[in-house]
Amino acid sequence: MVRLASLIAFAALLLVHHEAAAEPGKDSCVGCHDDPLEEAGADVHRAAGLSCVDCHGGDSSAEEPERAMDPRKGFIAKPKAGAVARLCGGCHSDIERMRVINPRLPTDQLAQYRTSQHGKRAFEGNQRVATCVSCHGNHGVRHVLDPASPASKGRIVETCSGCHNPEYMKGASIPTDQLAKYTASVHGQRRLKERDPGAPACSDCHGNHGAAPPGVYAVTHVCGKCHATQAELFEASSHGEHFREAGVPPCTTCHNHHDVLATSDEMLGTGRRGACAMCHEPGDRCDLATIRMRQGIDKLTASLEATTASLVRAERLGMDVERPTYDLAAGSEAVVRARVAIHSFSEPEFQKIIAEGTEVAREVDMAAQAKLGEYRYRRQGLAIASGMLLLFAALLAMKARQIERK
Amino acid sequence: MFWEAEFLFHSGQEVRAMEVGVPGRRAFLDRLLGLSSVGTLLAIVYPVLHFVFPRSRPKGRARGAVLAGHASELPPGSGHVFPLGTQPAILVHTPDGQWRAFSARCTHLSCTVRYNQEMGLLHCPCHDGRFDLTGKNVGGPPPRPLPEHSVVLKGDEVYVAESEVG
Amino acid sequence: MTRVAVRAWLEERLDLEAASHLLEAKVVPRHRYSVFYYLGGMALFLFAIQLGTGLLLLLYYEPGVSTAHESVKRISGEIPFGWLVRSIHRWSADIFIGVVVLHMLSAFLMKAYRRPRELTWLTGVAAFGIALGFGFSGYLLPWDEIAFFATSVGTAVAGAVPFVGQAMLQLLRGGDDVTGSTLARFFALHVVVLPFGALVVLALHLLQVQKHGMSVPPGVEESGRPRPFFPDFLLRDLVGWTLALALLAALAALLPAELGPKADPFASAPAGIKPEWYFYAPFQQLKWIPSYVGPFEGEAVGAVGFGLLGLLLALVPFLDRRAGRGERSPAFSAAGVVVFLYLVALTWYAWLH
Repeated sequence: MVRLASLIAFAALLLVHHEAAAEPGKDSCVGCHDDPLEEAGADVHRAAGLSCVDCHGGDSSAEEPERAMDPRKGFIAKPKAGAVARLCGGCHSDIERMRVINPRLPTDQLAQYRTSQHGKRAFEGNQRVATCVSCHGNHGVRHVLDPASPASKGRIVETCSGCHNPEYMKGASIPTDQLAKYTASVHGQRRLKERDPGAPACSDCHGNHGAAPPGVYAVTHVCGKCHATQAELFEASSHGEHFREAGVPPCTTCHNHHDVLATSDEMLGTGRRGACAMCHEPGDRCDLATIRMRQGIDKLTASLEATTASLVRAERLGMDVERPTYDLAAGSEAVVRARVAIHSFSEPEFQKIIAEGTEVAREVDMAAQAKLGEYRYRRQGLAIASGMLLLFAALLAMKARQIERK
Repeated sequence: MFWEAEFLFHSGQEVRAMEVGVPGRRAFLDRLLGLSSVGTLLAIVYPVLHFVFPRSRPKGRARGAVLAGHASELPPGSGHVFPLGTQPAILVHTPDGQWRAFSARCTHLSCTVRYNQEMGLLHCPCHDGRFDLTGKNVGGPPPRPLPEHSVVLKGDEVYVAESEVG
Repeated sequence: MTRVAVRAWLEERLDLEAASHLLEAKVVPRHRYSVFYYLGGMALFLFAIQLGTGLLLLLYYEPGVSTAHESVKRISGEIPFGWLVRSIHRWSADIFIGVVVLHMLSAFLMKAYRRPRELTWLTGVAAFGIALGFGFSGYLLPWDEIAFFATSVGTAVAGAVPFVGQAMLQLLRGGDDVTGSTLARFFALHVVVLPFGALVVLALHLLQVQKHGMSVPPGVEESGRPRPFFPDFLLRDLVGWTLALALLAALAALLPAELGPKADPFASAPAGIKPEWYFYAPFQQLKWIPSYVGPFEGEAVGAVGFGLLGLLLALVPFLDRRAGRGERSPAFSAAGVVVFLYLVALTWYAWLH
């Protein structure tokens, strides 16, 4: 009896064993857990030959949960906060190892992370801050150039605002309105609406692994990465020094940071939208200078508009306005250069450029008038030809009448 | 057709000469008519002749190409901005002796790019955009490369085609 | 050599006597409506203007996707008086078609088509069709945006005709879409095929007119002796032609022909694309036909409808029985006028919107 029972028990065990047995080459994990890498689609770690146990530890050949997920075999279920960074950094900071696997990847992520706001808090035990997997994913990790990666240029704004929003960050000491402001900004419009990867998003100014708000004086360097001319001019200008002394951040004081809006000539001066009003009184020496500068640029834009209108008229009348149109571009460029030159806070510099632009507008306007003059010349020619033809017609009519009176 | 009409008209006149009165006024009208018809003919022939006989073509406009500059004035490692139609274009004599031409309108916000000898690149002063000497955008905000135009040398004259390559 | 000697030399070889006899015998009846007789000659004059200015333009126009627009630009801007030749060609085309329509209308109302002048009417209708063909094919040649899209729309309508539509569309476009092939064949059409056709049709038309003389509407009384064509009527013709030339010069100088941006097949059509004004009537009618009329596609119904209208126009001499018998047929005239006014109303409406 016992022998039969044990035979049956043995057979049953064999059956159970058979179902639960791992397939050759696959981790036993997938026997109980649905393969999360399979579900995620592509994954760079799997493609590099790594498996579940390479990150989670444990025994992949064992079938029973206790043996497979044994902490003594190094099993880590769900690493917490700082532990995630150490886990990932275990490979990704190992220069010798990474050089063999993918020499193009940087290896300073962990070091940077430790200096970042995310990293500091994570290592203090804060469970809510971003760790590696918050931005790169855990299963289904893709290269950041892959558009499906949450850390890619197309998705990074979405990823950062996954935490940096009013709900998740309620009660935090930092603002929670970054996404709303950024979306309204010119950078946001270019990146989100027009999908221009050249426009800056969160990590372009804050860094990625070492994410932190730029220090007050680092702002110029951040903005100046693209807006180099303005940054250079500002640093060398009188205002550059004043701002440093007063401890006021450059660039963002007049242009904001997340909500960098489209600039306009109205920002110059102490008027309604004037940025200078923050420190200057209407009527003071600088304000008077800005009034003159405003006049200069308004006059230039008006004369460029008028000249363009003349050229359009001439073209519609059939004249060839190719060369004047080309020449006029230098005038529009002068307007752009003048607006950049505002950052030098030097009225003579500014007016010099305005004078150049005005000269261009004047010359092109003369050319446009010459073209329109050509049109007038045609009208004169027409008057002569019409006169001739009408006279001829009248004489013919008289002759016809004369012949009739036979 | 007109001389025929005049021809037959005069022969018809001979028949009616006796029937119409005041020969003086008739002759005056005929004279005026003759002058007027010559004048009208001239007013037609003058523009037609000027139209048909071409003036000498303004220099520097070969078929679909524009004279961008002279090779002797552009040593290797230099660039020259010139008008191509209504837009600026830049002719580059690269340090290794190639001649290339591109639209000089920066693909970011349309400022005019310049050749920067130090960098050996095309540089846009507005937002520090950079393009290498194949036109590819390699730095700063520009999102796309500069369109290229083909270059043809005729002796010392360097011509750039108006149409883009590719 | 004296004038007489030259004449004798030509006479021996060309039998000028017969021709001048014919011309001297040619008379034009005088009555209430005889002013409309000038319209035919005016149409012929304007056609001659088209031939002349067209030939001049041919000296500088270069067909082809990469050269057409540029050459027209050069003609307008660089060639001396190029603007004048081109603008006259453009304006004269419009006025020519207008005059041809008025000429047809007056022939219709004066019943000039009745026996034995049926062939004159038929060749006239053919000439009208050729004139529209000239207009349609010439419109594409500058290869600007409007021309490109107007041609796309126009050829698409041709394609809507049942059975033969697709074949017609392929034939017109030289492929599925409007491309350089379309430009090439429209150029051939405009400069060789249609002029040749016009030559043949006009020759027949004018020969018929010479043979049968000018017709007088039934029931209309002549007021005095007919006027000799040479030199009386011709002189008066010349007055009109001179005034027309003056008008064309004025229009060319004050309202020169425009040239839009070069056609870009990949760009989307600008809003409000319309064909030339003489195609407004069918264009507007097609807009008003619902997309399905019973089991048939609306566009097909429209295209066939206008085709039928053309056929009816050609068959006018055979439909108007009473005029064929020499009687007055005011009902027929009224019907024709109603159709004409409807087409004018369609054209007017399309012009306003």
